[in-house]
Amino acid sequence: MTLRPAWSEVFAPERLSTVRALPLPEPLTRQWAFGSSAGAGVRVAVVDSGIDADHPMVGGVQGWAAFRADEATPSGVVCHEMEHADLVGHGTACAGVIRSIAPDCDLLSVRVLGERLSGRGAVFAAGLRWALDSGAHVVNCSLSTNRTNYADLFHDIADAAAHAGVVVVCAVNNVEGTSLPATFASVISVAAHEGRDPMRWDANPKPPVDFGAPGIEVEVAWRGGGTIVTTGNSFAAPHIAGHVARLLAEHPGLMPYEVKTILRACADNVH
Amino acid sequence: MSEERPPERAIASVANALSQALAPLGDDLVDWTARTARAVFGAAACSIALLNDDGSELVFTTATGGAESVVSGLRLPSSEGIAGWVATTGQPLAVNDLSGDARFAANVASSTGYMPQAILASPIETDEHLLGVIEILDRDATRAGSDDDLALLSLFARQAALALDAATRSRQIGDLVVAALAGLEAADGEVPAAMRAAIPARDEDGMAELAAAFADLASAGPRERSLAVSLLRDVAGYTRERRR
Repeated sequence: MTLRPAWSEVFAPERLSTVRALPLPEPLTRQWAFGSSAGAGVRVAVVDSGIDADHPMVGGVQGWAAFRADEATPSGVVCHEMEHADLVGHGTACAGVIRSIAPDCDLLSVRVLGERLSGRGAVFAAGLRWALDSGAHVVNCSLSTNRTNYADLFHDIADAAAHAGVVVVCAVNNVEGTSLPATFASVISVAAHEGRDPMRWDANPKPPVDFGAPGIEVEVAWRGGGTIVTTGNSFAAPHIAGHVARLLAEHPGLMPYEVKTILRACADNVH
Repeated sequence: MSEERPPERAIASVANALSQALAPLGDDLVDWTARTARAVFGAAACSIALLNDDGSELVFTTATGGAESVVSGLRLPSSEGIAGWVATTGQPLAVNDLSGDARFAANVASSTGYMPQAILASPIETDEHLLGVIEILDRDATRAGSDDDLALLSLFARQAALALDAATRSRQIGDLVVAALAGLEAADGEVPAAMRAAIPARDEDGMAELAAAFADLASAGPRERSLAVSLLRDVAGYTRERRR
């Protein structure tokens, strides 16, 4: 028996669709797309619970911002741009996955979880905006909100990212239901597929989920310097974020819709 | 035509009826929800962590199959650890092998004596607010349909949230009624005013306290209630004799 998060069933081997190749004069190849890129010069923001920079699977963090709710301020949110801990391990897990695929990228830790429960949606949104304003090229967002009253806010942020050329890679919720901003068309939405090869991903011909990547019983970095074995769409998204970093290092300036097209063309289930 | 009742008896009657209707389900509900979840998932244990009043901590109740079948009291910051991530994101999480999280393992082991290898965790929340987190420890992953356990746990957690929310609301209403009855003379505001209008006497004779004792007895067994009725009749008979 294999535990499956929601949305991952379309990537089960017996159900996986074959995706039509782009009708180009010459097929896009992974060699063209990625070359020998390791993500150098690409800034990847991890909006999550923080990153343990000392974890051996992370290997350093190049930028920091921690957000928390504060009703005494006009925006209701305060930001501290300083080094911080990961109180959970989840952000460290995502950072470790990205680093394993794009070892030369710069990582930014944007902590929006781990201080208090109040104002969660506003803190999450503020962290995303900071990531856009900080010069990140890729934003990994392995969390989402099910609160529809934030739909307009996150829609605006997702559009702002798309227009600015920032690629936002989101994990869909592990259960079906509202999952924002993951299900917006302007972001890249990811669920878990079976298999642990970090270099394999599948395209989904029936979005809102765009891609499947490893996220079922995968070993990931966790707080305290160790690892855990876990299942969740959370861990599939940073695989795709890592590949986006490699792609952008090889082809700087690609827009998010171009990135999505190239990822689709290079997916393992395209024939 | 109904017999006119003295005010204190009316208060006692109202309080007693309300306290039975609004009896707090809290502890029993948490215990039995954890026990039921453990059975549904064929799990070694189930923890239900509820937010405290200010939302700063999660207070754990864990049901296991051991002699000490339900253990309560572990408190952890509400935004830390696996339960904290689930609470802050509102998303479920599955961990297949926890052994790399030494801090989590130490916390769980010290509070329950049980060391899980795997965990499924889901928020307990209604549309309006988060109540806590449910964690399934070492479920039976060979059960038919266990592929969909994240979805099943999410549904279970939603039902638990509705039940716990109803219990919480009942307790709050019950607290309000007791406070109103106890403080009719001193309290200001619309609700106490409405209570004054609805109930024609204040609880100067401790009838609310007596009603509360009745409420406690209402949740006891039939033998205990029979004993209490017998004792009360003896006291009433003794009082009548003294008045003569």
